[in-house]
Formats: sequence, C-alpha cells, structure tokens
Amino acid sequence: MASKELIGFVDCAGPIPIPSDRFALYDLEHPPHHRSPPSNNQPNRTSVTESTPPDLLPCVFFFFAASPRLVRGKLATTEKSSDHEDFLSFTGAQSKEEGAYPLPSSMAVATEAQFHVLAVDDSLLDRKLIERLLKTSSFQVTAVDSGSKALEFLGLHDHEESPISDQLDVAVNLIITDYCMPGMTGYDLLKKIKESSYLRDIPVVIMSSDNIPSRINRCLEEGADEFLLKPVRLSDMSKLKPHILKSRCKEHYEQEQHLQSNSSSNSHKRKAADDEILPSPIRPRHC
Amino acid sequence: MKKSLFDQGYLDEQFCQVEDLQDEASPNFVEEVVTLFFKDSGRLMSNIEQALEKYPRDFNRWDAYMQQLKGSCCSIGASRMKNECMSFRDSCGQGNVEGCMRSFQKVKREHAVLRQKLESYFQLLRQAGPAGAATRPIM
Repeated sequence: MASKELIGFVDCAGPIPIPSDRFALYDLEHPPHHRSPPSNNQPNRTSVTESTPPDLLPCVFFFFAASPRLVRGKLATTEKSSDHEDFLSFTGAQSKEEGAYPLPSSMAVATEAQFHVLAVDDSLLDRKLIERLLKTSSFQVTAVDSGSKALEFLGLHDHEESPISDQLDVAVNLIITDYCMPGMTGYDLLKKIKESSYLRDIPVVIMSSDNIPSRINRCLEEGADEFLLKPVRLSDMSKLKPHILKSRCKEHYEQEQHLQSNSSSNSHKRKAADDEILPSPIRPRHC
Repeated sequence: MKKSLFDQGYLDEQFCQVEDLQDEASPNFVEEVVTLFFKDSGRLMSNIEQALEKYPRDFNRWDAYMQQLKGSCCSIGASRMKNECMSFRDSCGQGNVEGCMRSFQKVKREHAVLRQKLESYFQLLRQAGPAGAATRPIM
C-alpha cells in the first residue's frame, strides 16, 4: 500500500445496479481462463439463474460502492491495489487484464478499500503484536480488550438481537479473538456472534496458546473459520483474506437468491440489472 | 551478543518474528514490545506472588495466573522463562506446592536475567546505530 494515511470506516450502502455486460460472474470451480468456450454466444460468464448445484457456489462479485458517509479519516487511495490483486488471484485469474472487467469509476473506491479486522485479546502485549501483524498485512485494525467490548463495538448489546442503528457506520470484515479471556471467553464471543443474524456471517478466527484438539474442534463446530496457535506469525495472516472473500461470495449469492425468489412468478427471465431498482437494505455490519 | 542470547536459549525464533515486524513505519517496535513485556510480566508475577501467599494450595488460581505469564513469554520468544513457567504449571497439575515454589523462584530469576540481557542488547543497538539493528543472528 503506497499510502499510510488513516483509513476511514466506510459504510457499504448496498449493491448498486450494474449493467449486465459490465460485470463477470466468477465460478470458483472454473476460473475464467479454464472455462470452455460458451455454447450460447454469450460473453464468458455463468448465469446464476441456471440451476446450479447447491454445493457449487458460483461466486458473484458485485462491487459495493462506498457510501459518502465516512465516520472518520479518509479513504486511502493507492496506485496499486493489493486487495484487488489478491481477489483476482483468489478467483484464479491470471492477470488484471484477463480477470478484470471495466467497472464504473465509482466502484474503484471499493476495490482499493482495506479489509477491517476486529482483534480481541485481553493481553496488551498480544494486542500490540496482532495489531502490528494485521497492519503489516494491509488490514485496517480495531483492537479491543474483551468480548463484551467487541460486541459493543459491533453494536450488539447483551440482550439485544439487532444492532443500534447509529453503529451501522462501521464495517467489520473479520473478527480475530483470543480464546482464554476473563469473563467472556473467545468461545463465548464466537457463540454470541453466530447467534446474531446480523453478525453471523462475519468470519471468526480463534487464537490460543494451548494446542488442545477438543478445544479446537469445539470452536470449529461452533462456526469458527480458523484456529490459530499462538504465537501468531506473519505467515498466518495470509489465511485470513480467503475467509473474508468467501463470506462475501456467500453473502452476495444469498442476496441474489433472495432477489430471484422475490421476482415475479410470471417472468422466467431475470430482468436486466439496469432495469431493476435494487433495494437498499439496512446493511449488516460486514460488507 | 544477540547470537549468544539465542545460543544460550534465552530467546527463540519468535523473537525474530517480532523483529521482522519492525520497519521504517515502526522503527522502535521491538523495544516497545519488550518494554511492554517487562511491565506486563512484572505485574503478573506480583499477582502470582500474592496468590501463593494469600491462597494456599489454590492450584487452579496459581495455574491461571501462570498461564497468562507463559503466554506473554511465548509472544516475545522468551524461551528459558517460558520453560520455567511450564514446569510451574506441571507442579500445579501435580498438586505439588514445593515444586511450585521452586519453579516460581526460577521464573523470577530467568525474568531478571532476561531483563538485564535485553537491556544490554538494546544499549548495544543504540550505540551501533541502524547498521547494528539490521544484523540477524546466525541460528
């Protein structure tokens, strides 16, 4: 990242209508350069309206435009977007030229935005280390010292299911938490996140200095995406982005399915995206 | 001098990981982390000392405190100190009060020695200037 300026928190306003010839639908199983020539003269893409086996999640990438509401700071602009390149390599595209489709300039901001990680650890020393590890790996970081502070940051209070509306300015892409903490453990925090319909899709990574298989299994079964043994290293940071990208794919796919099921029952074809007025839902925390 | 710290087992690979995080954006990162470690570990050790006195045979409590201290040692690669923390925890597991007391004395000793050695190390670094800071130990 060329810029070291403070990054603002960006609210994602929601999907914006994109003309259908302006975006590519990436099938993770068959990245663009591996696909066989399409038989129907359509550009190289897979339609999500075709029946897709549920276990083959096609990856639909909509670039979310950043809303003009920034909580603080300003968005860093970079000449080289490492996140965009990572996204391309994740989909198997060989190069920007091959994988990239022309995007409206308003979307350029979203592709250069950093992912925001919420780090939770009661140890000041470990917080300092994880913060440095994450920043070195080009993440935006917020570090808190307890599970309850984490939930407060996420806008979820003890007995409430839905977040406080004015907290929706903050987008968190991943939560990384220590397991052993006084009061609310990392496992307790994980459970609370997974119980919340607003937060459950945010990937959660657990860290622990103890290598206890039953503990690891319990966390993974409860929905943790990754379990890292402390001390956490720089090489562990590369495990985080795939989880963020995977959860975004899933979210967009689910939204697409939701839109389809709401469309008119008489229509067999999906209307062109630029004819639709897509709803702006209340954005969940994770964009 | 750094090489001897590694050779004698005071520090391990994790310390190198911490050093790798230091750059122009955070030029004093290692020293900040080490300072934080000694502040944190000092506090934890005094908790343990109090607990040993105030809560006799409360192995769960002693172990919980020592787990935190051990975690801090792991985080910066304080290898010998970490080993003594682990043997303290073993003694807790065995319900061995004597063993705990002996181990704790060793933990304190390692803590003091490490502090002294790292203080000398940072002093040397400051004298050597940027060139000195760049050298890595031959492990």
